[in-house]
Amino acid sequence: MDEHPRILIVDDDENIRTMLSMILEDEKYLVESVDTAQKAIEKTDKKFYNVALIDVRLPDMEGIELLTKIKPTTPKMRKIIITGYPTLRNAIEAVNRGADAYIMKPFNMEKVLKTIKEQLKKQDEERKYSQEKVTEFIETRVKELENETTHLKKPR
Amino acid sequence: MTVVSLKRKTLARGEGHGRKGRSVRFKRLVKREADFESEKGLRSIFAASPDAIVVTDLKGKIIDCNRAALSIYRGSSKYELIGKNAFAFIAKKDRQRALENLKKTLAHGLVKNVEYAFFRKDGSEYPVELSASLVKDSSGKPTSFVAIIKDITERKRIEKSIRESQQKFERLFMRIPEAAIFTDAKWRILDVNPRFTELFGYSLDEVRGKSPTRIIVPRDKLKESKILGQKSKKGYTYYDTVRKKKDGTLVPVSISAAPIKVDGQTVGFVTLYKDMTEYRKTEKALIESEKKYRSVVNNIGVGVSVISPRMEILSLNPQMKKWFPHVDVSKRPICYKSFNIPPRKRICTYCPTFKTLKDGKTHEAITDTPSGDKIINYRVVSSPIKDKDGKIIAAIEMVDDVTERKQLEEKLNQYSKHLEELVQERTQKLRESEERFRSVADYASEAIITINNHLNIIFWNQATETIFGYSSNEAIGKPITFIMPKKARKHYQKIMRRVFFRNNTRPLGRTFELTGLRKDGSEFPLELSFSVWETKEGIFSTGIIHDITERKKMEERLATLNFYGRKLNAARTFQQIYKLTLEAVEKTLGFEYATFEIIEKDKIRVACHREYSKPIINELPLDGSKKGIIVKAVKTRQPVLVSDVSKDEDYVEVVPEIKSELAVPVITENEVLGVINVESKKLEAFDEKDLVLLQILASHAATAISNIKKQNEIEKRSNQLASLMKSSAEVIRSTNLTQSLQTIVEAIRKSGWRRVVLSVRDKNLEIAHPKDIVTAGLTKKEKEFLWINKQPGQVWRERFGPEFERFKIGEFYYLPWSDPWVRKKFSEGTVPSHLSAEEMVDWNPDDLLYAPLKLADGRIVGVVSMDDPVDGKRPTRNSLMPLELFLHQAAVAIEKAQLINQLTEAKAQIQEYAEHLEAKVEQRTHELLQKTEGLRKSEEKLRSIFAASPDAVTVTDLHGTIIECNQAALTMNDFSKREELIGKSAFEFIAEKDRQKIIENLKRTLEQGSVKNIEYTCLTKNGKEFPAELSASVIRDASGKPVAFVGILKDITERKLMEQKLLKSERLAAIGELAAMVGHDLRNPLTGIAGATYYLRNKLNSKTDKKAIKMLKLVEKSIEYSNKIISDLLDYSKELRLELVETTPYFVVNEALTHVKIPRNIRVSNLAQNQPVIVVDVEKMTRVFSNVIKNAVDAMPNGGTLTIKSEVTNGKWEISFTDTGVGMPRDVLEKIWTSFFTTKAKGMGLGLPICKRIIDAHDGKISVESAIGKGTTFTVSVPVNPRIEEGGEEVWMNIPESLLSTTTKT
Repeated sequence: MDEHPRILIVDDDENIRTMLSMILEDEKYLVESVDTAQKAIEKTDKKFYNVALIDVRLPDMEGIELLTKIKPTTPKMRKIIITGYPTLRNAIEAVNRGADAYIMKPFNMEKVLKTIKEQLKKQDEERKYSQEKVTEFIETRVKELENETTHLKKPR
Repeated sequence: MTVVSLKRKTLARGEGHGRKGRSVRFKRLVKREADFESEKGLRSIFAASPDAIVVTDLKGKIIDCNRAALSIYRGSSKYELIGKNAFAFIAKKDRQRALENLKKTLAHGLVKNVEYAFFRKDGSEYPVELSASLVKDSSGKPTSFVAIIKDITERKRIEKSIRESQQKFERLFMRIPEAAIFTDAKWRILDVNPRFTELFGYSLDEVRGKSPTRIIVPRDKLKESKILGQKSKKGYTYYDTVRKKKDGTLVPVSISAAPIKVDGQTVGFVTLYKDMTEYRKTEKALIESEKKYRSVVNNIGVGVSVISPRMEILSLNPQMKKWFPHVDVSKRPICYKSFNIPPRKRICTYCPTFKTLKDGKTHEAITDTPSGDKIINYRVVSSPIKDKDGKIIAAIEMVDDVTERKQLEEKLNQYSKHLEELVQERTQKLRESEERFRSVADYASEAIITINNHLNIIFWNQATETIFGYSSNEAIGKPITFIMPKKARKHYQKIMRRVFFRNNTRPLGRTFELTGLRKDGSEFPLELSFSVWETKEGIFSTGIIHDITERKKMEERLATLNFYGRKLNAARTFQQIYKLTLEAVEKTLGFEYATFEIIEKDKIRVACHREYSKPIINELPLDGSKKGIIVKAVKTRQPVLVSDVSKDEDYVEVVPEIKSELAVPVITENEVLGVINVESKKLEAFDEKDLVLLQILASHAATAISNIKKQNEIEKRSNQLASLMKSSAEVIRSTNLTQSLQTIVEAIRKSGWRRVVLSVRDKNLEIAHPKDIVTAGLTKKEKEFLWINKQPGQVWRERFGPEFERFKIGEFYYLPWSDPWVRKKFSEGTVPSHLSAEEMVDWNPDDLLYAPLKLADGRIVGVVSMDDPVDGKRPTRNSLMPLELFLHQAAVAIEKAQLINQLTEAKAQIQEYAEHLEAKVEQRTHELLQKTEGLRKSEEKLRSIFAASPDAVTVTDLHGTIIECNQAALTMNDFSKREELIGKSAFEFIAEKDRQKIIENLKRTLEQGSVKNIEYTCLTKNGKEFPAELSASVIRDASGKPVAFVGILKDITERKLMEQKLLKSERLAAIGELAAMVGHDLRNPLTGIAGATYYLRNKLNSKTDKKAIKMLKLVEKSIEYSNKIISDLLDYSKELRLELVETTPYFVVNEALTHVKIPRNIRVSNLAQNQPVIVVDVEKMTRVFSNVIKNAVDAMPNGGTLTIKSEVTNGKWEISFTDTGVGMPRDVLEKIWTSFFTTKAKGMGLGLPICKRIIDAHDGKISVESAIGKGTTFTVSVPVNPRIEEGGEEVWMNIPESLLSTTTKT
């Protein structure tokens, strides 16, 4: 795991991309940004990002649709939807399709940072939990094997 | 009686038609005569009145009269009457009454509808109805009487005939042999017949008007009675149940009820109650006697005899026959002569039977019956046999031979004494003595055994040897048990020990039934009578043994027989009985061949047989032409037992090799029903016992057959009664004569006659028409034959005359062909019978049976004759009696039809006359009308279309001047009268701007003939504009020259409005879309600005760049505000969708308050209630409230109080927000709901419009009141359960006008 979490910004507004990159880099994140959904898919296929900030409206695809396309490839990546046109239906749809958080435009930067931190923390916890599981599994397996060998050692 | 009132009703209805016609004519008359002077009018009425009018002076002298008065008087001139005393025309008997009524008229001024008998000129009397009134002069002094007299002869006559038919019905009703009631449609009793009174104990006066349910239905049957009542409404109902008599006792009845219908409406019911007590009693008696019989059979050990009241022996059971073999029951011997030998001359002094026959109680005695030189003692218990009425018809004797017991006791005593003597006297010569004793005992016919106290046999005589097969040498010294079956030994041993060693209970003579074991190992039942005796040598027991194998066998057979007896009793068909009987014969007798033969008329035929491989002779004549054992049994009524057929001269061979035969007749009290016959290829196959058994069986079979016959008879009778009832009801109901008569004829046929002919006769007893012959069971040809060969009325009159009086049976005439006089008289003219004499019992196919159909006054209106009885028997008084009812019914039906015919004819005549008159009037009118009709018709058609058109139709001349217009044209232009419009120029009603257009278009119309759907702005009378669509066309005269325009004008205001609305909403939808797009797109740059500001603010040092940071914060605030504007705009353009949740007003207000920053100088008093539970979209409602609260806060810049209150009224909750702020002027108040209107420096002016939209969406209202300087109150009122259509509110539904104007103008 890198020291610095990777963040992918998906937004067709260049100003917003620049602004977000600058602020997030200042927060010691490794930031990359793309302007289309297609590019976002390509990026996430090649590399792992801890968090993706995805605008609802993208030139080639709806942000929510993108969610479904990214999800199977990178299930561990945290996906935050950004929208300038919030509705309850939109929000439910987004969460159902695998969004982990939901931010409204124009956003309060402090809130955005807080949300990103929270998502990273959850990701970390999940990872730890799964690691623990793996450890546990290995340990029990080892024990089982040990037991088997002791059995084997016994004279027939 | 209801029937009468009904008929009256029908008559009244009949008259009604005439009256209606007359009233129409009368009205016409009145109209026509309206111009006449009243005096003249009255006189003409006086003259024209169909009722007689007579005017008399106060003393009754006739002053004037009209023509009708003359005609009923049959006078020719008025002057015959005038001057005479009116009383002279009244029959003497009525004069006194008339005088009194005259006085009454003087006193009261009027007397109405009094009936008198009047004289005619020729002296004949006739009934009238008179109404008189007093005429007074102007001073009020009475001057004369006016009397209106109606001849009511016809009415009287009808009434009389109605009364007569009523009487006839009543007589019928009274004559019904069962209890009957007649009720109205509501089940109130109108009449009951004597039989009813007899059965239930109620007289008519006691029950009239009451419901039978309340009187004779037991409490537990009320429900049933109700159901029965409902069922009867639908038609004929038959039901068996129980009803209560007046004395409270219950009586089983069979109820038949039927509705009486007139014109399809139920007007009453006739209910019959057939008393079933007798039937039940017979049943019961049968069962009881059967029980008795059974008990007798079960105790077959005793003798049973049945003795008649004349002391004749009626029957003996086998035991008795054994005792008295010489007694021949068939000869009905006298008991005291037969049972005593030699015979006694008088009834035995001790006779218990005599006593029983006298007092019906059970008596008992022990007889001293001489039997040759012996006296036998019988214990006789005598019990009575009673019939269903409780009359003693016989006594049954249970006879027990107690002699044997006595003798046995004596014998034993003798033995014991004898032995004692032997023991005492010849102790030493014991063996010899014993030998001697044995020889004595050996000769005893009974089997005798003696045992000692070790239960070893010490004596065994010859008879015993015979029974058991052991010689005395073999038996003596052996334990007694060796002659008993092994398995029973222990048990018997125990019993015997008990008997031996219990001295105190030692019996002298007791009898046991045991099982014995023979030497050959076979077992058999035996009866042991024994006594115990004691000598010096110890205790001994001597027993006498009877082999009872035979008896047991007999008992078993009887038990089987008894079993079949019960089965037979339960049999429901004859065939079942035959089969069961033969089965019983097989089980009890065993045989090779068996038949059950049944007597039919003079033949006997095989009803059922067993074992015969092929059909045997099926029938045997009983006329003596053929012999046979069976025939003999029938003839003698006695069983015939033939042990060897070859020696019997009566025997007729059917199956070869038959050696013996037994035939037992099946006999009821007075009739031989058949024979049970069995045959065997063995000689002497049957004995007396078999005969007796077969006899018992035969009596069972006879009882079973007669039971079924009785039951069938009862069923037949009840069916007859039912059909009688049914046809009665049908006849009463039906108005069609042929149908009624057909019903009657069919009913007669059903009651046992194959062919029935009923003919309707006129007064000369002639048949007028083939239709007047109604038949049942006759072919068409036969019917024609009847018509062709019909006898002249004179012949029939003779047939009902004194010469034929001797053939009368009730109302019928039965002429037997056997009578030579009859044969002479009738040689032809009848329809030959379908049947031959052989098919009849005692009816001859040439016999004649007929009856007149007589009315109450003796008039004969028809004849009924019957032929070919189903049962083949001659008619009797009893068999014909129920049919008499039909005779009356038929007569009544014919009379009824005749009356109806007369009425109908009269009616038709009146009708014809009326029609004739009307036709004349019509014809004349028609002639007049015809001339103008043609023209008017077409015009009328057009006019009606013209008038009814919803579009304005206007006709103008070529200059546009209005010539004609319809109602719609008036309405459209706000005119009320046609005259206002006609003559004006049509152009006046077209708006100035369109005048040129219309002129041009009219030119085009002239050229093209018509123009369609051109829009104009039109004007009403008051100058108001409205849009309309005009289609115009040219009217030309016959030469094709245009003469006028027709314009059809359609008001299209509505359509225009709709169009505008549509346009508006389309525009608004576009704006909404635009707003949404703009709003969204604006948010992106705003986000950028916000992010950049944040970045800058973070980069700046909070100490050195204080001013810059302040500026950046200002930027942030501006962004926030910009965003709010976007949100509002989006909200406003967005479709409202409510998400309804249950909450309370208080909750929503609290939520709203958290969204508003309340300055310190403002106090909020939240009095909102936590009830009721309301259904709202919480988020949107919160927005409304916070908006209103924010406005209130803004209105109080210098502080104040905001009071929030909630209440519930009429299913609505209301919440008010009252501030103490600056208030709003009127012009502001008017605009506050308008979008983009605001008084604030900041703000789009969308807040309140959105609030209004939200409240509207909740089906509620928001309102405001305000006073400058005092404050403002906003009130929201919403239904507690809002009715909101699914899918939410429509976009832009309530957009105010101003929004449209502002946006469209930019």
